[in-house]
Amino acid sequence: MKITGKKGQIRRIFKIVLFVLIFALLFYFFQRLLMRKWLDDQNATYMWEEFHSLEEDTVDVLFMGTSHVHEGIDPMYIYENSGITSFTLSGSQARFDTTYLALKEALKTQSPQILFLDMSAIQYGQQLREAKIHQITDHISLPLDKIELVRNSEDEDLTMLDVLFPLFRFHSRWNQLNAHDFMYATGDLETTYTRGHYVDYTTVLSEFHFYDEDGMTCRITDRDRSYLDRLVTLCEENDIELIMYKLPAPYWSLSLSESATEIAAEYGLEFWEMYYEFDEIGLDVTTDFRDATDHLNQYGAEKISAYLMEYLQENYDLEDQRGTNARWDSDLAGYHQELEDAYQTLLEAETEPEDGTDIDNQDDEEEDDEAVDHLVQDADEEEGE
Amino acid sequence: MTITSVSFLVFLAATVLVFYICPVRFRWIVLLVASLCFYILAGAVQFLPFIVFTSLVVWLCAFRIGKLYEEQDEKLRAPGLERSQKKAIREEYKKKAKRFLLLALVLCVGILCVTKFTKYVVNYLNLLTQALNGSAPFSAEWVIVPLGISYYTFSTVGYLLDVYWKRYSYEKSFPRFFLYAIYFPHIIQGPISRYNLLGQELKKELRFDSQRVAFGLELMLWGFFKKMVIADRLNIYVSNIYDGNDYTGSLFLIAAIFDAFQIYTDFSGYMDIVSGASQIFGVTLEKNFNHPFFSETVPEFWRRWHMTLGGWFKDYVYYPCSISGFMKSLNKKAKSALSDRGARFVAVVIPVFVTWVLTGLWHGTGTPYVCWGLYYGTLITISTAFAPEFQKINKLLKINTDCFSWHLFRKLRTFACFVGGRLLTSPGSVRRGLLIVKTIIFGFAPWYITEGDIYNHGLNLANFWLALICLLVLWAVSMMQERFSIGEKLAGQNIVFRWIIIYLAIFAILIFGVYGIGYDATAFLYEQF
Repeated sequence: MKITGKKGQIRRIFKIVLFVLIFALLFYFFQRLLMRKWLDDQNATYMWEEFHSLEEDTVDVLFMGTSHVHEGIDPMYIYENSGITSFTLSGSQARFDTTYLALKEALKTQSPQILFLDMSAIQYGQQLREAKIHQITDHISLPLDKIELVRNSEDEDLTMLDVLFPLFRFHSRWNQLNAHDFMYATGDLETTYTRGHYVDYTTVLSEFHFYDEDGMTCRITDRDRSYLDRLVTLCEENDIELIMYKLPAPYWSLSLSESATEIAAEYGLEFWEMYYEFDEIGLDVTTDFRDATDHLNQYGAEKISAYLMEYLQENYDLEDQRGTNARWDSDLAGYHQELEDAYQTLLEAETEPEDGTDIDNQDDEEEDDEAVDHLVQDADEEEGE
Repeated sequence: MTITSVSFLVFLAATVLVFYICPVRFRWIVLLVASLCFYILAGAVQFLPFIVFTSLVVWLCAFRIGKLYEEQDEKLRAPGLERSQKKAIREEYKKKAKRFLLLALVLCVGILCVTKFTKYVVNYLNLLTQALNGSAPFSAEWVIVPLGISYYTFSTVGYLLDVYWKRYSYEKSFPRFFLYAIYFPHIIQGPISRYNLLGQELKKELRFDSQRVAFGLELMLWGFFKKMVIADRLNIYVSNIYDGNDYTGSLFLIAAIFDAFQIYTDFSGYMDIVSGASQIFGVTLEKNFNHPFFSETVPEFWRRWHMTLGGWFKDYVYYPCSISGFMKSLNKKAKSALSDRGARFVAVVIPVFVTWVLTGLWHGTGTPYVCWGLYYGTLITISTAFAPEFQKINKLLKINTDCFSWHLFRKLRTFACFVGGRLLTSPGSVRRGLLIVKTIIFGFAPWYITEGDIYNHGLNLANFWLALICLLVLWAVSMMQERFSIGEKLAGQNIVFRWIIIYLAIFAILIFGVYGIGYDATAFLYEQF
């Protein structure tokens, strides 16, 4: 029976609303299912899932910047040894535009006191990086900022629709779906405990020196510079102490370092070039780097983290939350399990040295034994606690 | 703005909103403004003067012709006129009307011919001069092809001829007539609408009807599915094979079959989208496809494929040609010189070939399209002129013509004829088309399929099988459409089932559609005409 009049109209409107609502839910599900997941060394998905799962206002220090940050700094190491809560919220080849968006997103739930901003991004010019932008934009809301980001972008592949609704960008992944995609869609993706840090024990011999190639000069665009301005302002507005620094990754030049110093000075800041503190940190080119682009491995990350931890302890009065922050304390077990898993993965992997410089730890039984002993010792200590 | 873009959907939604907010008597104006906006947003603002000019010329000439006929009727109503006087009046006015008809035809068809054939003619002239004195002095760079020119010229010229032949009365309002010419759902790719149908539809009181809107949206969904999921997916394989070299017969055969389905799903998909969009406004567009792959003969195929173009050529080329003075005198001579059957053959063959060569030229200039026209002219002449012989052979071989296998054979034969026609134009040249046919026959190499090489040409295993599954869905839906209206059937179902089907369709398009980065989505194939 067809219902007419006002009652019919209300019914029709209700049906339309319900239809749209179900559509939105299905769209959300399929979007989560199909959107690309970054679960390897570009671990944006794990990073943001873990970040969003944290209790509000529990992170005191943020480390932001490029992949060197989440591969080179281990926040849980810092927590375990000092009780300082920190998080690496970085992205592969992230420039200041996406870093600004990431910070804005972070400030929705956290009130960090200190922000370490790695200045690697000044070496990037107008190269295309559509996928790199998705790594961050796909995991955060801020639709208006995303629209502005796309409008200002020089990348033709980057479209407003794709950034706002990643389903449109990644719909063709339907024939590549794996267990992780379904787990992510249903909210069952395995929990991580590394606070954004990517753990990898792979070791590659690194040649540590400043590059002096012509291409290694500051190429920051006006657009990126304007985002850096906004990022600085955002820090000021939120009483965040900003530290512009550069992790000691050898893919860097004296010219870049000087440019970073000049940029920092324009904001009245001092640029911290950690390259010059290589020996003080205790880094070793034969053991502490994991790939040809000079990302630090877990051994290097722990050394850097220890150094930063000392710096924070000496210069700031940050609360030692050990024993009072149940979530972080309990996550330490998961963190150690991840370290162990990462090491086991390395041991199990078939290694085929690409060139003569590969000195993967699997070839060095002595170092293997030492590392395993260290992990076992850590696990034993935890059990004892 | 393409018809499968999000911007089109936004444009359509905005137009629908304004359309239904406006009072009924102003709704046609909304459509006119929206159509102008659509034409501009489609990147054709520079072509606007062409469509305005053609519409204005046709409307003015038809207006004059209509007025002349009104004057003629008034004179004929005068009492006491003898038959010879009436005849003289009719002839006088026919002559006057013919002047306007010819003027409009020369101007409008002239523009169409210049835009479509100049490049072709210039190429040949340059080839000729190059052979004679080594230079190529002519240039066709100045030639532009206004968006939708073939469609709006045919629609408006059809109206003019109908007014001239007194099939229906002339339109007094130019804006109303211009809306008929530029109406956005049919401007780019048709259908080639008749004024007595679309013109009247646009004059109706266009009121909101929720069920009609729902039917329209559902039809659009089916159109998007055909275009974005099937046609564009098949296109990846087809263009990969046709653009490449040194492929084997098995790969070519699959490409030829896919190409036939691609053009069908591309073109009919477009029709479903625009017909659905038009239905939302309460305006019914003419049907352009009626499951042509179910046809058992080539003439039947062309009654089901691009029906409005076929209808146009039948009404405005084939019939006028058949009853022209030249044909009448030729028939007379043929009757006296040949048998009855021979005379009938002559009466059929010339109009058929004229019609099909012109149809070929409508689709494109150059040898492939002339050959295409001759190919169909030959097929249709053979199938009609030798029908008695075919029946005799069937009887002689005791073939049961009333069983499934016979009907299936006829359908496959018609499909093969269509694939053959596509091979003349689709690979780029007749020579290449014939080379492909030769490779299919003499270099089939089926192991390219069994060993999996087939998945290395744009469509991987998953996409290839998805394409086949989608073709199966296409067949199933077409079978259902042959028997009943799916929209009406769906409307009679419970809401849960109805919504499941709609959500399935939407997400099938969103997920399996070929669009965005990673896919080189194609323009609609019939936009080029």
